[in-house]
Amino acid sequence: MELARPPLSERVKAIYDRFLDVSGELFKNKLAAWGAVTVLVLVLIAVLAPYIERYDPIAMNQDALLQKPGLKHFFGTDQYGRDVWSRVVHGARRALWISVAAVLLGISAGVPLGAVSGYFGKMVDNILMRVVDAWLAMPGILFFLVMATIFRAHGFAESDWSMIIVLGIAQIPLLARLVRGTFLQEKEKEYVEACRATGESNPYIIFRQILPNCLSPVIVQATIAIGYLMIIDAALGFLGLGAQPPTPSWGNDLSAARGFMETAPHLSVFPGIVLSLAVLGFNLFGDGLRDALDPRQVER
Amino acid sequence: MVRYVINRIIYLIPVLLLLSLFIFSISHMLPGDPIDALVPPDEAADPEIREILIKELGLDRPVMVQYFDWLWSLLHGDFGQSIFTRQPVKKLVFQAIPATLYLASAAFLIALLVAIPLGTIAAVKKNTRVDYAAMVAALLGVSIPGFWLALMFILFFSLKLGWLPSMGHVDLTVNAAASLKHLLLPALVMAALPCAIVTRMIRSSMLDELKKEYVNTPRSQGLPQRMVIYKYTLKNALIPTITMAGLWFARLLGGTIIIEQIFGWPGVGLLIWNSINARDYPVLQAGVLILATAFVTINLIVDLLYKWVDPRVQLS
Repeated sequence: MELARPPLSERVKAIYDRFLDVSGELFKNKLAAWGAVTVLVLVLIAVLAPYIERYDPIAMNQDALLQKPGLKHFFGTDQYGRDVWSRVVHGARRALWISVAAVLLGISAGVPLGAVSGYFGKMVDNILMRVVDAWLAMPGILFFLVMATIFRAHGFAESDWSMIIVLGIAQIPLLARLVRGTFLQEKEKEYVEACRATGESNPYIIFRQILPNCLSPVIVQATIAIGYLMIIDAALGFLGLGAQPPTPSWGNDLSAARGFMETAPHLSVFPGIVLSLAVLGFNLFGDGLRDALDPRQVER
Repeated sequence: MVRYVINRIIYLIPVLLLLSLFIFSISHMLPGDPIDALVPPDEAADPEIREILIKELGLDRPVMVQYFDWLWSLLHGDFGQSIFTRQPVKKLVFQAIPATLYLASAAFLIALLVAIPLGTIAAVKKNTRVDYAAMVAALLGVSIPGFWLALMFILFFSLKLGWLPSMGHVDLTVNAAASLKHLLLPALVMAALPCAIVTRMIRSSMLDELKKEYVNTPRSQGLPQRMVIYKYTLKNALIPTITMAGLWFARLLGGTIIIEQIFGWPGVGLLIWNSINARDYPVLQAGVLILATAFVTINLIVDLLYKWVDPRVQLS
C-alpha cells in the first residue's frame, strides 16, 4: 500500500527548506564556507572559460615563447608561446567535467549495487565485499594506469569518455561499500519492518524507503571524490596517459613543464597551484557537508 | 585468538585469488605485444621469428591455461622469467624491494614524527592559532597532489638552492650520507599525505579522549596536565591511529609508482612502470602481486596489533 504522495509544490518546498538548512549549517563553518566558495569559483571558471580566456589556449605564438608571467600573460607562456592562463582556465573546464561525470558514473552503478548487497546480504554481499577487498589491495594509481594504457591503445584516448570510464569504474566498489554499510544499519529499523509487514515489494523498500536515508554519506563521498579524481586525472596526464595534445589539461601541461624547470619554472607552478586549490576546495566543502548533513556528529 | 587468526588467513585466500585473476586479465588486456618490445622492428615483422618467440614464451596457449600455469608456478615460488631482460622475475622484484621499503619506511617515519606531536598540540590547544595552523597544514597535505609537490621540491631544493639531488638512489651501505641526501626529497613528498591524515586523526581522537572522565581523576590528584596528556590520553588516542597508520604504510608501498618514476628511484614502483611500458607481463604481475600481498598482510598484522594493544577491542 503506497501512501498518497504530497503534491509537487510541497515536495519542492521541502527540498528547498532542506537546502536552506544544510547551507545555513554549512556557512556557519568558516572553512566549509571557503570550500563552497572555492568550488563555486571553479565552476564559474569552468562554465565561463571561453569568456575568461585571454588568448586561444591552443594557438601558438612564435613571438612570445616562454614569457614570464606579466600583465600581457598572467601566468606567462609555454614553449609554443601559448598563454598559460587560458590553458589553465580551459584545463579547469576539462578537469571538472571529467571528474564530475566520473563520479556520477560511479554513483549510478555503485549505489544500486551497494543497496542490493546491503539489503539482501548473504551471497551477493560476500562476493561484493571480496571484490572490494581485492580492489583496495591494488596499489595506488596502478589500476588507473593500466586501464588508461589499455583504453589508449585501443584508440579511445581521443575522447574524454575513456578517462571518465576509467575514473568512474574505480568509484563503483568504494561507493557500493559505503551504501552497503549504511543499508546494514538502516534495514534493521522499525520503518523497514513496518513496510515489510504491509507487504511492500523489495524494490519499493530499497529504493523508495531506505535509499533516501542513506544518501548523505554518498553526497559527502562524491564531493571529496571529485577532488581526488582531479588529482588522478592530472597524474595520468602527467604520465602521458591523459588527453591528446594540444588539449589544455593540467596534467599534460605539468608534464611538459618538467622539461623547462630551470628556464621557465612558472610553467610547473601555476597549473599545480590551481589544481591544489581546486582539490582543497572540494575537500573543505565535503568535510563541511558531512558536518551539515549529519547533525549527530559532535562538533569539533 | 588463534581461531581468529586462522579465519583471517583463510579469508585472505579468495581475496588474493580474485586479485591474481584480476591482475592477470588486465595485464593481458594491455595492447601491443611483448614481441614488439623485445626484438627490433624488422625481426618482429618476420612471421617466422614471431612464431618461434610466441611458442617459446608460451603465448600461443589459451589464456586460461596460461593463468593456471602462472598460478601453479607462483604457488611453487616460481615467478617466471622477464620477457624483456630474460632475467628471473624473482630476482628483479627482490632487487627492487629494498629500495621501496627504504623509501616507504623513511616516509612513514617522517610522517609519524611530525604528525603525532602536531596532532597532540592541535588538540590540546584546540581553537587557537596553533590548532588552525596545524589544520590548514593538514588540509594542504591532503589536497596537494604528490607529483606536483615533487616538482616543487625539486624546483626549490635542487634547482634553486642546490641542497639536494633531484634524482637517483645510493645504497645506504655504500655511502650513508649520499644515500640519505638522495632519500630526503622523495621521502618528504611521500610523507605529506599520511602525515596530514594522521595529524587529523590524532587530533580528533585526542579530543575524544580529553573529554572522558578518567582524564579528570589524575588531574584532580594534582598531576600536571602535561603528565596526564602524555601518560594517559595520548596512549589511548594512539590506538585508533595505529590502524590508520598501518594502512598508510601499506599504501605507501603501493603509492610509489609516480614518485619513484619522478625521482628515478629503482624500487618496485619503477619496475612496474617500466614493465607496463615494455608489456613485460610476468614482471608486471609479480610486482603488483607482491605489493598487494604486502598490503593485505600488513592490514592483517595491524588488526592483530590493534587487539593486542587494546584488549577491549572485540574481534568479529
